[in-house]
Amino acid sequence: MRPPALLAMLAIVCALPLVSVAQEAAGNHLERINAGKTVRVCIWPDYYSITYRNPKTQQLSGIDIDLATELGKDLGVAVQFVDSSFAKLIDDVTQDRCDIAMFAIGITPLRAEKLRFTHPHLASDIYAITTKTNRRIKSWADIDKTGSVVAVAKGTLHEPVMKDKLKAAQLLVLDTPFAREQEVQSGRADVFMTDYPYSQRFLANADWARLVAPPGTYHITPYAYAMKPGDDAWFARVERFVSDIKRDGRLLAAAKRHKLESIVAP
Amino acid sequence: MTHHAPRLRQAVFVAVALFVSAMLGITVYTLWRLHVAAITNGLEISEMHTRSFEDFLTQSLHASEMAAINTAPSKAETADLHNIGNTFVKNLQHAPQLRSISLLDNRGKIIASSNPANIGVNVATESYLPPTAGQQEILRIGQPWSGRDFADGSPSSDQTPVDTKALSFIPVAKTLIAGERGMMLLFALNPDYFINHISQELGADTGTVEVLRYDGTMLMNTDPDARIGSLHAYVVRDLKLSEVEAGRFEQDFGNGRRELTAYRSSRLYPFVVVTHIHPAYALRKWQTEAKILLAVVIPALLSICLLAVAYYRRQLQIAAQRAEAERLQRINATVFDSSAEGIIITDLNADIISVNPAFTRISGFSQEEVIGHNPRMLSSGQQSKTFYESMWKEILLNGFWQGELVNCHKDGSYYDVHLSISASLDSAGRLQHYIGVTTDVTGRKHTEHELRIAATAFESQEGILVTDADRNILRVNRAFTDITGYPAAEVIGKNPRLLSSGRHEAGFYADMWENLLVNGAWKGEIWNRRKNGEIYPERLTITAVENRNGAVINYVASLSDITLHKAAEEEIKTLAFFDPLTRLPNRRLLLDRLQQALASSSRSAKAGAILFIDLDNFKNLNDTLGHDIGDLLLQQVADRLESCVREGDTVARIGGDEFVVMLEGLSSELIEAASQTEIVGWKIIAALNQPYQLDKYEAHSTPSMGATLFDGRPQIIDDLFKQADIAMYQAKKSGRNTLRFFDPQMQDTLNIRAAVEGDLRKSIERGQFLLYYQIQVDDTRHPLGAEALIRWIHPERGLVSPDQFIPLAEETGLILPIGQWVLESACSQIKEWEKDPLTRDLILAVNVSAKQFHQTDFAARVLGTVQRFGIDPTRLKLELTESMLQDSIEDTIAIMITLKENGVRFSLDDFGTGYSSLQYIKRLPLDQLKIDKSFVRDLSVGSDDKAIVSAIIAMAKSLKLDVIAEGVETEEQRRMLLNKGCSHFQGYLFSKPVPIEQFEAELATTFR
Repeated sequence: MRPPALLAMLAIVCALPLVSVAQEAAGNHLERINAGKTVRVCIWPDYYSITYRNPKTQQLSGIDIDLATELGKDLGVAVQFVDSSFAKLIDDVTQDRCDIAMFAIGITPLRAEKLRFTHPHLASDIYAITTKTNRRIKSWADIDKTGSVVAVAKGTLHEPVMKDKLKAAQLLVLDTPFAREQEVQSGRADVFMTDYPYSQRFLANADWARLVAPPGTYHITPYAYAMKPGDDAWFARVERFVSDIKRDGRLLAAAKRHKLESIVAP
Repeated sequence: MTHHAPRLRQAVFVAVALFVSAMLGITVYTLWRLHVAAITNGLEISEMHTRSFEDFLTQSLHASEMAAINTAPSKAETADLHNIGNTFVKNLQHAPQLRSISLLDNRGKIIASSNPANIGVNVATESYLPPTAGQQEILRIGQPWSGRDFADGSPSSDQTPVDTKALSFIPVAKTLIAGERGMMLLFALNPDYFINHISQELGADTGTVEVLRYDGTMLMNTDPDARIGSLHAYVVRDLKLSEVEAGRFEQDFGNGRRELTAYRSSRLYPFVVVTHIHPAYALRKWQTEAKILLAVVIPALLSICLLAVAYYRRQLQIAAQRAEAERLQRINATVFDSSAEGIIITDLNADIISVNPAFTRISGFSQEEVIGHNPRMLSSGQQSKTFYESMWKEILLNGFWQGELVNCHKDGSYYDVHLSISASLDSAGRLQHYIGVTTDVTGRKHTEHELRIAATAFESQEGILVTDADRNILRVNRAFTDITGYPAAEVIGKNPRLLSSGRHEAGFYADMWENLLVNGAWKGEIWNRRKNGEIYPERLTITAVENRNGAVINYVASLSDITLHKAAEEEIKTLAFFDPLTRLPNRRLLLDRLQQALASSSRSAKAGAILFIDLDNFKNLNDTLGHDIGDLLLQQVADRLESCVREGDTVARIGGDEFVVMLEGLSSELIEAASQTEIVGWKIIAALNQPYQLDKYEAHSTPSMGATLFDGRPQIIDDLFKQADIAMYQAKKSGRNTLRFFDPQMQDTLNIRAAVEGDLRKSIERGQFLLYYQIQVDDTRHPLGAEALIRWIHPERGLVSPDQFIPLAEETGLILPIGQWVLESACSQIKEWEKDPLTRDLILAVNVSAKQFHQTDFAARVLGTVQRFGIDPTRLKLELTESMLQDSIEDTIAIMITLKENGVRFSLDDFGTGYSSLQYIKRLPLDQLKIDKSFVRDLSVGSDDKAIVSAIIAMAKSLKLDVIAEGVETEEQRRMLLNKGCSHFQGYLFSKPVPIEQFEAELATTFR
């Protein structure tokens, strides 16, 4: 993705000699965005309700798609979505493949070391999905048992959390798209771990799936947008955007649109 | 009706039963049809699911098989086993029905697998079905394994099936023919995928699906309790798979479980899919429909039954009504035929359609002769045209007419009929017929005429009263009401006894009734009482009315008021005994009454008197003003005389201007009687002396009166008359307008009394009274006070003692002014005495008479007088006598207390002569008892009196009263009294009553 971006930038520089003042691209996202009239937003296209690409129509949908569009409007630039995943997140952001990652990124200590997070806009607990016919997993307590297999997507916040929490069950870390679902559906895994937005949307579509919810609070994680550390101006701009959408109701409206109002962060 | 009801009931019952049975039959049949349809439908659903699931399973397996085959290496030895594993993993990405794909070498060991953990595991595939027959590339299904994959699983057997909670998978092997050495692909088939898929389609409440291998080994089951791996060979055997690949039937498991089962064997692989649909599910809609149907049908049938019952009852009712109507019709027909009244029924045009036998009897026309004719054929021509017009007008207007008319008999004679014509309407109010009812009233008319005569007779001037045999009044006429005052309504039903005056004795009536019984009639005069209570005489005739058997059924009494008749009789009597002018008794009656009076007098010993009254100079008045005026005077004199005498006395006119007054019941004392007579005499003189208004003249007249007395002694009436006559002439001689008694001595006595009274009256005005004072002393002769005693100083007769005038004064009421004079004089004297220390402490006693004391304002008068003179009331002592205290005790006590509270003292005079009880004396506020002089006088001779005096003194002491003795004349008396404890005295021993000057002089000397 880098070559096309550079080409585009070169094209802009050539086309607009008046603004051809030499710019150091790295570390000054805002200028680059304004110059390119495009903001690059990293998303995970498998993320139901957040940033999901329907494989049949290739349409993007989800709360962060809507909010990224809002960001683009606020900045007065076009939005360019860049496919990413939790496994690739840190690389994609730090290596400037995108200006910002907007796919409800759980703030985990590991990520916070590498990335700069805005104030959270959502917060979700962890949920488990199993098959309807699974006779062994009736409740949350049945998960962490010898012989149980728990699937998580590589790079997601669930990976370190479950690694930490599971005592008896076997953890299966997967990094192919929809691998978690396949493992559970084929019976190779008993459950996979996900968050509130993913589980809600997923259950609505998969007739074989069943939700196993923790009896109380299990592990709530705040979700935010992540940027490469170091660009204070860009960060401040995005923080302003986050506070704007919270204040003017765009966040809540978008959350309602995707049935996520219950997990909107204050 | 009685034989009709059961038949009707039976018919209704049968009809309802048939209908209900038919309806129930149709309902049951419908339900059965629907049931069959529902079962069939359930089987079809079962079949459909079976086909669908079989297809899905076969397709899935086939797809897996194809994918695996394509990726399988052609030669095991040359294959990169690691790459094969990765290829298997890729294949699995889109095959959730597979848990793993492995490659077995010819020794049954896994040499490559999507799950690296499987590598090295030995899997025995020999028992997989179908069995291998040489090198054929066929898919074979093994016994299910428990566990997730070969790595951690173990095969089950029919003895050790997979635990219901454990994971399981089905090993499926596919032999690959590649070169000489065979290889085998081994799939771990994920049954959960299929069960999930099937469960989406078929809920647990709808049915279950099982997948069996051909040998009956259970591979999958949607029932979570099924034992995977167990053997159900008989099931497969029953399916007869060798004959047909698919089928459906109602399966009975024998333990009460029934299912709608469909089965289908896979077209490629050795398994069969069996679907059981629960009949309950299949019949769910049928049950709802059945309920709805029954909910509609049963109430409908019940309603029909109720309607049938209602209909049955209504029919019974109608039948009963019809029977009743028929019965009434029969009665009507009977009435019609047997009626004594002729009945004519016409149609709307008034043409006769029916007549009854009575009509024929009355009119002479038979039914055949009149039917179809107008009733006017009966017309006699006696009624005018307008009569008929008004008749029809009324019928048309009111639907009814009745009246009387004369009709013509068939034989041409006329007869009176009463005819009523009614318009007969049907139930809708439409005119149907005219019904005429005729009664031959020729006989009745005759009777009416007779009755009218009788009624006229009944309403005669004589009162008529008719009773039944029990003498209860049935009828009275107007004259009866006029005479007795009772309207008919008040007497009917009552006994004539209510008219009884009570003047006749029981025997009178008994005689009357005896007469009636014997003779059948009674006639006589009787006193009866009108309603207003007036008693009147009537002439009464009673006749008993008998029936044919001779029994009395009524009494008829005719009565006439003979009051006037009686009055006439009385008038005649009056003329004989009364003076017609004055209506006073005449000489004859007077003599009669005098005779009676004398007899009465001798019995009662009471005296009577005759007063002869002659009007002075009446002749002159008669001559000057005429006889008429003279008669007027005589009438007025008569009135005045009557007003002067008592009721029992008689005033008579014995001729001309001579009247006689006879008084009866006078005092038995002649003197007293004379006095009474004199009072009446003077009253008469005073009355007759008043002026008379005679027509337009005012006249004066005076009488001269002579009186004589008679008592019980035998006397000759004529002598009495003569005596009175003589006395009257004496009165005339004495100058007329006066009264003279026949007895001269009596005359004198009366004269004196009259003189005394006159003098007494004048003496108050002229101050001829005087008070004398008699001293009262104690045992040391020390003066305590005095008793004031009245004296009359007569200018001619000198000093008159109180005995001689006080009784007269009491009699004439003069005692009151005299008493007041005494009181005032005493008070005046007390006032005088207050000035002198010598007399200051004296108490003056004054006698009070009974009349005085009982004056209503006595207390006020005394106190007023005391106040007027300004004296100390305690100086005044009132002396009362025992006798005057006997009347109205409470009033007496009240008067005394009033005075006593103001300080006035009381002394009881003459004590011991009366009958006062000690109890009574105790209640009186007395200060002193006075022992009567009669006891004192006899003190020295009579021992009784001594005892009385002792008792009086003892009593006075016990009542804490003073006691004083009066009439003490000797020293011996004083001593005796003193010995008995009486220390106060009054009497000649000390001083006689003396004028004030002398009293005061004695006081200053003797009693100093």
